[in-house]
Amino acid sequence: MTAAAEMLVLAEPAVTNEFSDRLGSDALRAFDDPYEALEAMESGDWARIVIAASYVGLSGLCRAVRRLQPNARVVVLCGPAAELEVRGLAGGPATQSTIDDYFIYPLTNDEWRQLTGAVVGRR
Amino acid sequence: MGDNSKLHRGRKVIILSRDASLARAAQGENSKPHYHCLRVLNPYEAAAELLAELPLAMVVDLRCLAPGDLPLIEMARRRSLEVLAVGSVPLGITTTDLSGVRLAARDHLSPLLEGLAVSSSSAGQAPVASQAHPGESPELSSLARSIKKASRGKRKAPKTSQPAPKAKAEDKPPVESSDELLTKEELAALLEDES
Repeated sequence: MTAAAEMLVLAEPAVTNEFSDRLGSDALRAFDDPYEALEAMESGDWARIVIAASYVGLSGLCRAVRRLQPNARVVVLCGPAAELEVRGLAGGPATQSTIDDYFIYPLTNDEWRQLTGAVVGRR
Repeated sequence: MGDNSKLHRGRKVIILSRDASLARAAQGENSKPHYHCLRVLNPYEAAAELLAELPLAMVVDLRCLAPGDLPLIEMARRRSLEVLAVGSVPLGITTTDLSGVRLAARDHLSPLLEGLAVSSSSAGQAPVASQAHPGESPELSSLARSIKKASRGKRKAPKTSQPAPKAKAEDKPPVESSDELLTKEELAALLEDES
């Protein structure tokens, strides 16, 4: 895996296109299908993984991602209605978290910077 | 992810099921199992386990499988992984989608997996897909044959409900059976009427 493509984005095309527009398509690998994304995780270590919360079985998907990429920073993008479920995945001080963070989508400019800052900074 | 059986001996068998008793049935009563079961609740987790380390086999509770999860079966097929399925084929999935997957009764899981484990360890390699029969245990072969027969019968079922074409009846003498539409006598009478 090249250093440029250190972010994996698993989301519907509208979202991945937005990531490509902001970061450049070389900086990320985008997937719509969870199984294809999981296969891409088999081959190397990813620094950041962004998952849209729209997938059925999100918690299982996040556990699967964590299983394959224990050291990645896993972030979920969700709508306000899904925040409660996603917050549970992020856990708390007393519970083991499946994901590292979540953001309500659409993101503000500041949130975009938080989410992609390191990737943009390296370009 | 998932819950492990207490004995971590031998190779891993992924159990995709929300039903803990299925994992216990797969583990069986054998005191020296050649495999250990890892139950996962979600097809994505099964995929991750499969990708993390190629297991001996995967047992799929078909209630956990939706049409969108067929890539999991394809993933297993590409890796020549033995997939055993329990339950009935869910809506939106056809038997063709599950080609290469063996339907198994819950009670047969343990002997099937034990047979796979033994043949795998004696062959010194991962078990091969159902298309390749060498190294298969006899009971596995017979079960696979019976399932193939059953599925062939199912696929042909709509045809039997159609009236038998005349030419076909002439090619092959009709055999009296409960499945036949006409008895030998009825067919002869019908042919006489037509002539």
